Amino acid sequence: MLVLVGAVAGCTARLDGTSEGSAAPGANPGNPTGTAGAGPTATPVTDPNQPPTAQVTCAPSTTETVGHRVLRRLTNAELETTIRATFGVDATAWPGVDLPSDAGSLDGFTNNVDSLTVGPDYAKGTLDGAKKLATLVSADPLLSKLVPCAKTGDAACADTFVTTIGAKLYRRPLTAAEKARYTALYTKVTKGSDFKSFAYWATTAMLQSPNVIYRSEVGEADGAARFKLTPYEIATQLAYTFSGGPPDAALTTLAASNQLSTPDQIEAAARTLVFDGQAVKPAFRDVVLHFADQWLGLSGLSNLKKDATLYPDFSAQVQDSMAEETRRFFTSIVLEEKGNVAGMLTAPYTYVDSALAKYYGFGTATGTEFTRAMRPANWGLGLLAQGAVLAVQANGQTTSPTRRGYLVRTKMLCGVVPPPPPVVGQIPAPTATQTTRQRYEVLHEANASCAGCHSMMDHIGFSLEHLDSAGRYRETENTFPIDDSGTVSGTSAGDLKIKGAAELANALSKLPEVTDCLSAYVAGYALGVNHESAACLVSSASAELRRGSSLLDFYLRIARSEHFRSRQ
Amino acid sequence: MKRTFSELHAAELVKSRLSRRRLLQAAGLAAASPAFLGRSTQAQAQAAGAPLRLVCWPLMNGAEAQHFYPGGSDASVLSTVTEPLRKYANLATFVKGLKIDGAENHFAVRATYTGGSVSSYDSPDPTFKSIDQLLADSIMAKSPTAQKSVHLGVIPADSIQYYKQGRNKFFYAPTPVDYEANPVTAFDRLFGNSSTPQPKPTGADYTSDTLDIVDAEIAELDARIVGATSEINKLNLHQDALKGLRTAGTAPTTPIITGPLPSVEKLRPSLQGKTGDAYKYSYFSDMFDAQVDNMARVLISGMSRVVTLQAGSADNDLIVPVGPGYPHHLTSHGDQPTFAKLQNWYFGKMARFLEALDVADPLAPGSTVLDNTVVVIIAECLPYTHSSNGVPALLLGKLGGKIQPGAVVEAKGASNKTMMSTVLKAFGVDPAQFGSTTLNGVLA
Repeated sequence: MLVLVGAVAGCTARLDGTSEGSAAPGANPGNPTGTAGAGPTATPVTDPNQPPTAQVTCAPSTTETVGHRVLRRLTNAELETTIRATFGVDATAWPGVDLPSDAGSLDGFTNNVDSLTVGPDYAKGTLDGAKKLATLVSADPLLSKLVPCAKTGDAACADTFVTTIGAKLYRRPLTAAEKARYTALYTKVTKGSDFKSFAYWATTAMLQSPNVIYRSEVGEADGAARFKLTPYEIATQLAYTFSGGPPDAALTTLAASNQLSTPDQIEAAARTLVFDGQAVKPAFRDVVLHFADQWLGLSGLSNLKKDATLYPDFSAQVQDSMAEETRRFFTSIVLEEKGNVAGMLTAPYTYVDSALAKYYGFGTATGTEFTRAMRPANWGLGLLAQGAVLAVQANGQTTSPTRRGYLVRTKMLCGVVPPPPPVVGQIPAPTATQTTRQRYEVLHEANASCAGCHSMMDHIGFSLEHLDSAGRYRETENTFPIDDSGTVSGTSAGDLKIKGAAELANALSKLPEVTDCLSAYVAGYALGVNHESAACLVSSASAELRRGSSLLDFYLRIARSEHFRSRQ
Repeated sequence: MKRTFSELHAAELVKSRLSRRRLLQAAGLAAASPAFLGRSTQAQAQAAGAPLRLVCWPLMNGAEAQHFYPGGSDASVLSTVTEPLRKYANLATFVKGLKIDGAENHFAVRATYTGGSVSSYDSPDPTFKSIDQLLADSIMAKSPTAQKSVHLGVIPADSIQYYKQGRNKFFYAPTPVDYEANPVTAFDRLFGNSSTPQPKPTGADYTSDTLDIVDAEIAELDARIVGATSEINKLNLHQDALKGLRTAGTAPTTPIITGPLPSVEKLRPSLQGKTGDAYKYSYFSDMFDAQVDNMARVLISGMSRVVTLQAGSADNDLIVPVGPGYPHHLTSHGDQPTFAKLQNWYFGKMARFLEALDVADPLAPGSTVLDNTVVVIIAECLPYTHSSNGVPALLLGKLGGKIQPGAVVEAKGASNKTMMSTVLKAFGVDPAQFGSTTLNGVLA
């Protein structure tokens, strides 16, 4: 068992503007892998000092459990996709939603059930945006396309409008009470105006509806202390989890005919959303790549600014190409080769276009076409050798063993790094008289109050020191030889001594806690909960991932979990 | 009372007749005359005294005392960091020796304006309303404005993914307020995009009826989730937000300044509808200008009398465009004269803001908006030490004569609560959680 937190009381962290030790609240302090024994169960958070949360905490149990009933506010992207699918409006006709940014969770994901709420700006943005779209919807040619009876504009047509448009937006047939409200609106509006005006106000109302804005995962009491999700709720959950958008007609039909109740049925529906023959559908690819981007924090890549004297070739074009390189790599490993965690960490290849081939000095490509390239042996392996990952987790002038180590410690080992202390000393600027490692060792190792925490991070990051701040191999630093020996401490296999990026990748690939950690993050993203909670909800699928199943199969197996069908 | 579309159209016509005057005013080329205000609005303003405005502007990462404070007791001497305010030096009140009560380090951002206790990064949010919301509540109860309060940001976190993560929250109502980081979106939401007027349907305005439908559906959902505390709380927040929409619809018409803002229009091609791009460092300075101009227009027009600005976040590394460009947080840990230059750059933006407010107050003839405003500036901690004892604090403005500027107030032992209490008392508002103690020598 990896126990780190208790041993580092008073330790300091952060040398250099890392996203400092954001020790995740609710983390199981004795269990940095985020999992708890075999088959954890979930209990509500009951600490009265904590704000209300839909997260669960793990407790030892032999059965997989389920999460709470929740209302998941759609992300801005999900809402936009839903509106486009419902009204058939492309970017030319309608520019898209204009709402406050989705709030990020402590895991770095912007789809967390606790983070997404409706505040004043969101409500106003929804109202304003609804009216803009309603202007489009209530005018021809779109209105007649949506409801051909619009020219008649009678009560029957109003019913048609509500029934068809409403069902798509609400992702289920409207109830009698809901329809009655729109009927009353029709009566009121058409006393002094026409059908188009009704279409305008009905659209304005629907787009503000909580039944549109939230994904309902509330269910109905099953008489056994559980709440069984309705077929439409399951269809909705499937659609957004596996395609990022609302249920299509086929999925809605399955819900209407109650064919989404067993794990086999649900997984089959998930596979339909994921695959087009043997190929993966673009919408699912986007879902997976969005996960990778947020898990690794790669959105910062476009903002990176490196010292132009030290890294003159680190151009905007190179940065763009690095982002695409990682997308191609992730797509290849996870979706095309159906690789597992070890494969992702140790793949000897990457993808380059002509700009990257020139920048890295290996691989051949023409123009903007990306081709697979074998990485030279000393350039490391897999995900942690990606230029984008290395450059983002570094400073402008130097690498950052702390940031790189922090990424591995928190996002791959699910370790908990305490936040920095209140008083951190002034940090001297880098000089040409020492290596980055030497500088960090002086700053952190020589100070006992720093060493506790930083040994959890820096000693991992040291192994990547042959890969510079801009993601390229370097033989020396400031003319000094580079020492890339390191340690991954406190693992289930003990303290692992490593040397170099390849040994780090190979060591991590063999650790079960790395697989468990990745499964927790993937499931947390898929289910919209913190990774600690997610580990409780998908323990069966996680066990298979640990036995070597593919990441793609793991994602699909989330659909088989009981959490996908019922709640407590 | 609901207004018909023709009535709304008539209001638009009135606004368009005023556009030239207001354009001039917005550009700072001519002082706006209050003549365009309705007589009743003018009378109300005069009867009630000048409408006072509050601006909360956190200073991220602070500055070392020798760079932030004047050498002596004369505030108008200014300092390395605050030198860009030279033209308005007579409005400064420096406060020395303040500590943040119940919090330290960057997570003190959550305590500075709320007075709440936050013991660590992982601590729950404070359950208090921040000073801006306490004042906004008071204003809305007495003389409602079209917007209760306006909250803007300029790259308020490292990236859009980390937007509103725990350490970046400042303002609470008592849950964290929304803030808009895209100045083009903020402009369009507040003032309407004048370049693309939206056609409206014929007939009456049924906005309220649509909100009735939404309310009814929320009530049904509420009944379905009995026992799910977190989700009930979520729906309560949603309903509160809807109440705000209804209140805004019934607030008295305020003199809205029309026409584009050049700083916003400069960014429109790059940022309209592009939420993520508002986090690109290359736009930082231009976005800062645009948000400053948005804030100024809100305050001048009387659309709201409470605004906040979160420029950067307490521990981010956005590149501050000084010289070759310096990462904000990393530099705060390094050479302090260099970091002081970065904070000086932020005060250059503050100078732009004060300049924009230095126009005739349309709601208080004979005074400027700046005369009736106070900007509350306070840091969460000191640069490299992360200590929250002796954090830089500064009040800018006279607040209609309620504050007597010009001093360097020695407040050793006092806290952020004392400062917030002082400001609220200046506004005539109950200091609530901040206590009744005030800073000596600040209130007139």
